[in-house]
Amino acid sequence: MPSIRLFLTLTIIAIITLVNFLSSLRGYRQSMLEADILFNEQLLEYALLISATLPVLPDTVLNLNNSGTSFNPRLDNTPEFQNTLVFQVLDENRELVFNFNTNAAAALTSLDPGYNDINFDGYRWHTYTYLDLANQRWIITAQRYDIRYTLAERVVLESLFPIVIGIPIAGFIVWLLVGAGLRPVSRLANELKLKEASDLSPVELDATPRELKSLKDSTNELLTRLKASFEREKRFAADAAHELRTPISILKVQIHNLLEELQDKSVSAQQLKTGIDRMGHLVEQILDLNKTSPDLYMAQFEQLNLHELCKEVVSGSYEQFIKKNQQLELLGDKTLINGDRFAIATLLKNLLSNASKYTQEQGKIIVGVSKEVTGVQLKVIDNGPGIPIEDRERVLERFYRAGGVQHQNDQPGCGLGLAIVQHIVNLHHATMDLDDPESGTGLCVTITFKNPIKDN
Amino acid sequence: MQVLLVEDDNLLADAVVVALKRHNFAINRVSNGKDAMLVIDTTPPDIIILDLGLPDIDGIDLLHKFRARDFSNPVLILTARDSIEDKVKGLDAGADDYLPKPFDIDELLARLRAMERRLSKTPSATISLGNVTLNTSAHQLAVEGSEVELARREYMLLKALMESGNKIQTRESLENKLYSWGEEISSNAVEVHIHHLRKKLPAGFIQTVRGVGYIIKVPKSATSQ
Repeated sequence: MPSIRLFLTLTIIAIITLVNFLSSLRGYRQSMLEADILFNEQLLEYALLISATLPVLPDTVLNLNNSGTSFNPRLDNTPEFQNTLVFQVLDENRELVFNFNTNAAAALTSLDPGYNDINFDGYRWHTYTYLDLANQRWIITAQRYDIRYTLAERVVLESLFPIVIGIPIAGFIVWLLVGAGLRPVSRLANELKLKEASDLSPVELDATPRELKSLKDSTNELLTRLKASFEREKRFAADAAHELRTPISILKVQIHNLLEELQDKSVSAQQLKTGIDRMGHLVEQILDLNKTSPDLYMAQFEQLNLHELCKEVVSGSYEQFIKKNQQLELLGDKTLINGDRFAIATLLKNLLSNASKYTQEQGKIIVGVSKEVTGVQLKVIDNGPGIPIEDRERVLERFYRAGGVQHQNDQPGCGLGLAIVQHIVNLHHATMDLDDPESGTGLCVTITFKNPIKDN
Repeated sequence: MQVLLVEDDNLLADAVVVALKRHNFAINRVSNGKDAMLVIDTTPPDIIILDLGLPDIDGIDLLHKFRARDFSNPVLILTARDSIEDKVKGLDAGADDYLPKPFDIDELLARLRAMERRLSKTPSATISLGNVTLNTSAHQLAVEGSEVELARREYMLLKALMESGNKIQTRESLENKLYSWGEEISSNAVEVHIHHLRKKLPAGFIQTVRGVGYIIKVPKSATSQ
C-alpha cells in the first residue's frame, strides 16, 4: 500500500460504485417488471377499446398502417412508439378481417384468450387475445419486446446518470476528507522528522486522535527507552572510569611502597610506575571527556573572571613546568566571561598540559587573556615545535596524536586533551583556532568566547 | 602523631598504612563508620583520613557525627567523587582538606605534614628547602645554619610559600594570609615584603611567575620534611 490516502479513496469509491451498481441492477429489474405490467395492461385496454370502437366488420381484409391512413391513433408522442402497437380482428370463422400496423396473413397467435409470446417478422412479440363474445370476434393486440425494453432501460439509465456524474465528485471529496483525517499522522511524522538526532524528548501533539494516541504513546515510550539506554551507555564509560579510581590509587600507593622497599633502583619498577601514571592519566581524561560531552554536561554558567581562573589553574598545575624548567607568563587583566567554572578550568588544564608536554626543556609558555572585537580571547602560546598544518584538523579527534604513535618528544599522553578542549569550546559556543605564533616556532591556541560581559 | 584511616578497601588501606608507617606516622585503620565512631569515643586520633564510600554510612554523614561529638582535629577526605559540589559539601561538613582519588602518596604525605604543623604538636615542626630551614613552632628562620631575623608579616609570607613548595602562591592568596578581613592594605604590600624577604634569602630562592604570583621551588634531590 504505497499511500493510505490513495487506498482509502479508491476503496471508498469502489464501494460506492458497487453499491450503486447493485441498486441500479435491482432498479432495472424492478422497472422491467413494472413495465411488463404496464404494457400488459395497455394491451388489454387497447383490446377492450378496439372491441368497443370497431362495431362493423368489413367484408374484406383491411390493412391499415399508421402512415397514410385516416386512422391514425396517436399512441405516443415519441417516434419510437409509433408503429409499436399492432392489432388484428378475426371474425367468428376465425378469418382475419382487420389488420392494424401489420400485414400478416393470418392470426399472429393462437386464439386462446390471454397473453402469449410469439416470434414474428424477426422480433419477439407479446400478444393478448381477447374473445369479444358480444360481436363474435377475436381481437389480438401485440407489442414488440425490444420496444418495451428500450423504454424500461431509458428509465433506469436516467436514474443512473446522476450517480455516474457523482462518482468523480464523490472521489474528489473523499480524497480531501481522507487527507484531512490523516493530517495528525503527517503532523506526527513532521514532528519526528524535525527532531534533532540528540533530542530524545517525547513528541507532543495537541489534540491527538484516539487512533494516533497509541502510535504517539508507543513512539514516546520507544524514545524514552532509547534515551535511557543512551544515558546508560554514556554513564557506563563515566562509571567505569570512576570505579577505576580506587584500584589505580592502590597501584599508585603500592608502587610507591615497592620503590621505597627496593634497595637499588629497579628499572622495571620505575617503568611500572610510569605505566600506572599513564593509566591513571588516561582514566582521568576519559572521565573529563565524558563529563564535558555537550549532550551530557549540565553546565552551570556564571560570570567568571577568566584571568583569575587562569591564575588559579596555572598555580595549581605549575609543577609540570618546574619539572621541565619551563618559563610561564600570564598576560592580561580582569576579563569576565560567561562560563562554567569546572569546564573552563578543565580546558585550561589541558591546554597548559599540552603546552608543557610538547615544548622542550627551558621552553617558554605564554598565557594571554584579552578583549578583542570578536570577543574575549584566551591564547596559549608555546615555543615548541608546533603542529604541522596538515595535522591541525586531526589533533582534535579522539586518541589522535600528532606525529603518530612514535611521538616526537616521546611524551606520555592519550590524545584526548584537545578533544576535551573541543567539547568545552562547543559547550560555550566559543571557537578554537590553532595557528603559528607571531614569531618563531611553536603553537598558538586561540579560544574566542563571544558575547563578553561588560565590565562594570 | 596518631592518624586514623577510615577506608573500606583493604588493598588500598593496607598500602596507605605501609606508606604512612614508613614516613613515621602512627596509623590505625578501621573499615566502617561504626568502628570509626568507637575509636573517636575511646582514643580520639590527631588526624582522620576519611573515605566517603563506606559500607554502612555515607562519609559526609559520618563527618557530621564526628563534629557532633566535639571532635575538632583535622579531617582529610579521600574520595573518588571529584565534582565541585562534592568538594564543597565535604568542606561544609567540616573537612579540613580534600584529596581526590587517584592520589599521589607524596601529595597525601605533604597534606598530612601541613596538618601536623597546624596542630604544632611536634617539637621539630620545621620545613627545610635546600639550605633554608623554617621552624614553625619557634618562628625561626635559618639560612645555611645561621639564624635570620624576620618581621611578623615576612615570616607569615615565607611560611605560606615554603609550606606550598613547588606551588605558586598568587598575590591575592598571599594578601589573604597576611591581612585579616577589612584590614587596609596598600596595593603593593606583598611586593614590598617579598622584596625585603629576598634580601635575607639566597638569590633566586623566591621566584616570580609573571602575571601569576610567587613560588619557591623544591630542590630536585630533596623532599620537604
